[in-house]
Amino acid sequence: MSTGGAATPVERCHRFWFRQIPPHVYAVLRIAFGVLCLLDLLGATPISMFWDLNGIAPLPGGGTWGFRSWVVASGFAPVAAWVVFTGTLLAYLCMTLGIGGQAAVFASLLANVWQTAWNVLPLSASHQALTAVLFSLVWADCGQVLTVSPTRNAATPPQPQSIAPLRVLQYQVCLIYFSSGVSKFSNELWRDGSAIYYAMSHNVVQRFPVDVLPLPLQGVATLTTYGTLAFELAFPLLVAWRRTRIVTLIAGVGLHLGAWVTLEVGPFSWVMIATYIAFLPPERLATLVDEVWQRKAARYRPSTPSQGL
Amino acid sequence: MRTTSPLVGALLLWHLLAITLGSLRSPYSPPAPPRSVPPSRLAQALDAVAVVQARLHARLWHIQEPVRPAIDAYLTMTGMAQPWNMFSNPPQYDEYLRVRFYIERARNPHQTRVATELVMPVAREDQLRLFRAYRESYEDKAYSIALQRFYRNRAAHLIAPDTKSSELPNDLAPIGRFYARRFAERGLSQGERIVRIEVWRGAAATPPPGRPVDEAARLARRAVLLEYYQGPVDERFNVPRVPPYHGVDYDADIEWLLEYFEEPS
Repeated sequence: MSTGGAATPVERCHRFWFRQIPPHVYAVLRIAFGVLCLLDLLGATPISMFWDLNGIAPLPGGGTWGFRSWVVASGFAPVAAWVVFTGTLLAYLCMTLGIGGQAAVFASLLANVWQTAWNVLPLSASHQALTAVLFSLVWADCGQVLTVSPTRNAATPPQPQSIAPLRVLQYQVCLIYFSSGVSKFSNELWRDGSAIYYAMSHNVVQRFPVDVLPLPLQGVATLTTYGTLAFELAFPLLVAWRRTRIVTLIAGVGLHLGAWVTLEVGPFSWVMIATYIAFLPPERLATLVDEVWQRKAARYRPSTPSQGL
Repeated sequence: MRTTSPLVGALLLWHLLAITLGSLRSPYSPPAPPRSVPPSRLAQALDAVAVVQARLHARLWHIQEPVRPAIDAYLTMTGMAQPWNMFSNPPQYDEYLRVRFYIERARNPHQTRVATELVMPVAREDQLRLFRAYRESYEDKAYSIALQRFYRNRAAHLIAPDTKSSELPNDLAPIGRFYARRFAERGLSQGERIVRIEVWRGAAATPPPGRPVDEAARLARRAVLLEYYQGPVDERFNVPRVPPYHGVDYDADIEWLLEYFEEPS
């Protein structure tokens, strides 16, 4: 989060929030979160269970506009389930492939929010994190590079984008960790070091079939409890400081992979790891993407000059 | 350097303020139960810090209350709710959910049979959970959220034996009805119909860290669960009586509470 060498604090602040960056980071985020949105969508299946309003979904009647009630009363609930699911799937596919540019990202955000209104029951914090990321991405043109769209590939060189959406995303990620850390600190199980023991012994989320965590591992669980608490509370500071940023991100990857190995809580670990893309230097990421893309283009289309970058 | 519209700056500031204050939870929560193990020195020190943190939290909550409606409206409109309290209160017990159907025959309405189906956790808890568990976690989440909504919406005075089905919030109704429909498709003979649907929540305490597991209780629970894993448990002879609302039932060390019921006409 370097602010460069602007003269006055106002200019530095302006540069921090609004300087122009290559669009590659937004494209990488678009693809990563497109894939994660698709995974999230596939988790909330079968369609008859979570998309049909006669399935496991809140009974209609509590909505603002009564649309769900109308769908059920009209007898079209099974058809509507397929329409909504397919529309959402198409929006996510287009976003991932870079078809439709910003419109596809906006459609994905709408679909994501719509899914929450349609049936909130199977959705966890990872869905909300996806919504928050998509909200940041709609403000940037994410479809300029790494796209299969032929019109984009033939277009003029990619235009730089404002860093503001990336800053909003970085702030959101810091907020997720800090808010989660404060909530945890308010609970005595986190303060006495037993929270991870109880989480890993819980029959609904545990991955390994153990009644309770074995005694030799309980000390590790206590250390992990305090480590997680410290990491989440300190994340905003550690990631803001350039010297500790990479170590913090590596530690975060380790933390989330550890959670994924031991607990089954949907795509949350992967969503949080993917948000770390927002903390990588956008210029270096652009160079890397260009190199990889050109190498691939040279391998598969040796007679065609590199396009779309 | 390009200039940026003050409106863009103001909107950005508002958004950051809204998501920050939106992530603040209400500081008023029920008091925590007493600890099952004596706290370490570190835990005692952190408890002292938590007292100060709770005061600051309550103060901040009070300060932001006037703008809260505007923030909530903005976050609802944009779909940007900030519920970042994952695992902040890990359960100190194993959780279960089962549905029970009372089935009557048209020819002999007094001869009732009962079928009981375990629905949560979806995956068997005696096996390693791999790829299929990913989708199953969404199903478990659905039951868990439905239960949370039910408890939030049920008034305390409704926890009484004579509570009628119509008085209860309907948050658990979709679960009961979904499984009843599925059971009717697969498990009903001609002339049979479901006359009562019940949703039961089960809990079995997890021993505190350092305490051994009661081996006899563990094996008894395993035996009960193995029976549930075979599919709906059909009882035709020793048919359980219809319990009062919030009645209790036991399967090994699992304590079941009747949380919701309805009687389809």
